[in-house]
Amino acid sequence: MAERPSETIVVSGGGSVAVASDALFGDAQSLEAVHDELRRAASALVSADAVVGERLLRRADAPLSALDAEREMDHALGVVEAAGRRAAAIGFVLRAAAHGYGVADEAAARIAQQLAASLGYSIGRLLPLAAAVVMPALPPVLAALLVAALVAPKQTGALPGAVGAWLADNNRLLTNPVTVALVRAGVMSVDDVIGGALGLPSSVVHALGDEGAGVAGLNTAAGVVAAFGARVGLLVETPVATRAAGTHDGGTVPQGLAQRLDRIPQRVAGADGPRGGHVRIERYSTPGEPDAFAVYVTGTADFSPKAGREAFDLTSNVSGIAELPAGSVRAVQDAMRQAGVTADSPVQFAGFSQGGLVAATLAASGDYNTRGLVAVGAPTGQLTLGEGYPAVLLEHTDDIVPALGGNRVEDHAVLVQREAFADRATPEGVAVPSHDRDEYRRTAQLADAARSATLVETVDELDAFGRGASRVTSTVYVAERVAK
Amino acid sequence: MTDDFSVNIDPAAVLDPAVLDPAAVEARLALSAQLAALSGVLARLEHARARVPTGAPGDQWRGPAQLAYGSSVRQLGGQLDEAIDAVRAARRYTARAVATVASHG
Repeated sequence: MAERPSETIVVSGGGSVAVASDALFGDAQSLEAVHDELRRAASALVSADAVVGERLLRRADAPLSALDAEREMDHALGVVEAAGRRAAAIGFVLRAAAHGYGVADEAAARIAQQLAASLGYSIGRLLPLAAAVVMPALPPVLAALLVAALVAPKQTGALPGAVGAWLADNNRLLTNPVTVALVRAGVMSVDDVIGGALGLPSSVVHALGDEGAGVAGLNTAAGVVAAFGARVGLLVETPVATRAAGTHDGGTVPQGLAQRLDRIPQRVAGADGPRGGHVRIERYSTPGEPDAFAVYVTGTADFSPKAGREAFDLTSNVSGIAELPAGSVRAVQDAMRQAGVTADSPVQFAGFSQGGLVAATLAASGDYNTRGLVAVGAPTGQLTLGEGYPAVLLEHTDDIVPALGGNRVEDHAVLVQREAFADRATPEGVAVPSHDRDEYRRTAQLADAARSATLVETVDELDAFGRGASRVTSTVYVAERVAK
Repeated sequence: MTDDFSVNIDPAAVLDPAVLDPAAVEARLALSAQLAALSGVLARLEHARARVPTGAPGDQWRGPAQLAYGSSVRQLGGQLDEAIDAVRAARRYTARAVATVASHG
């Protein structure tokens, strides 16, 4: 097995249904450029040929070489026109392949969702029977442990022994596009399971769910989970206190996706307690212009289903997916208020994992003058991001965390995907290595070097934000829950 | 491949109607313009040739699709090579014609 990471990124979205590798889009663009160049060359050849007429050559008693030149130009024109037609045809086929793949992919996802919904409903109908047999508290405990393992690479040691060890030892099973697709389908059918368990008619469940009107879906299901959890003291939201932990004057405006990912803070557990911040806000000052702000949001720092001090915890994850006022969302809003961000301030958001979900939620909230979004490895599928600003989502097709957000509901944002462990072994002792920041950093670098026009233009638009700022000030914030 | 197609012309001789046949002058100027135009065409074709993809896009293509695509872009490259050769030949012939017409004068 080769140990080289896959360098293939797949690009989709940006308002198009087309899905293809960046290389394919790049080739299609090259062929279209070749076609344009050949069209201009053919036109120039016709003009060059017309400069010297046959009558003039006869009048001047021109040499045979002039006639030879005419013959070669005629030959060149024929070949150039044929090559132009071929370049256009190949380019068209590539575009059609990308479009066809995208349409087929969308249709397959829709069928899979219908099947998963039906299956979920059937399981839900059997659930009361199962619940009568199995201890009622067992499913949420197991689910919490599983989710914790999935979203906590390098921290599986914190899990109760056997489950964490098993997941870490069998990470290839989790780090797999098929598993990810199944999880995505499973997540999308949670509302159907609940509907079945409540004994609602299947037609009503389907009509209200994601497959129908979309009134009840993943967010509703997450809300139900949070409500049930609250009854046993789990996943309970609390007030959050946010404070500035340090300010740095100087620095530059980020360029590219990798630099943005590097600026997202990391909250890590240490011997003396947690270190690092949750939110980093950069202020870009340019004389004569309103200050612009870049907001960077960290991922989950605490995976316990019982809320502790960390605002970026499992409770915020569930609340966020339920589109409820999650502690992490409120923490970032508070940090932004402290930083002086107003409804009119130009703001760009970036976040990793849960931070990506928070960033996307705030970007799409309509409460801010959003000028860009970068969400990395985040469960944002069911969020309607809206339009009017550049947005890039980085996801690994073998990372289970983005799948927890369900199917994508809109195509405005440019989605960059990579199978992180396509042709290489997964590292030992890590439950979900494809969710690792370093793996996403490689994806970001590949995206920065991409040729696909949609992606290149979107990143250029992101990079134009704050350009020319004469002063850059960076402040890191820490957010902690406050007991009610 | 670099060709030097510059032709040394004595302006005084070109402009002296007593020395030159007007049709030859007209032909020579027209051929010189053609030579310049062909240089522009050649630059365009060489630029286009450099943009022709070299193989299947990425490592995700396999089997017949990869073969068909690879064959198509190779043929496209071949056509452009042929066109570039033809334009170079046309330039060579045109330069020779300019020199010959000049010597007539």
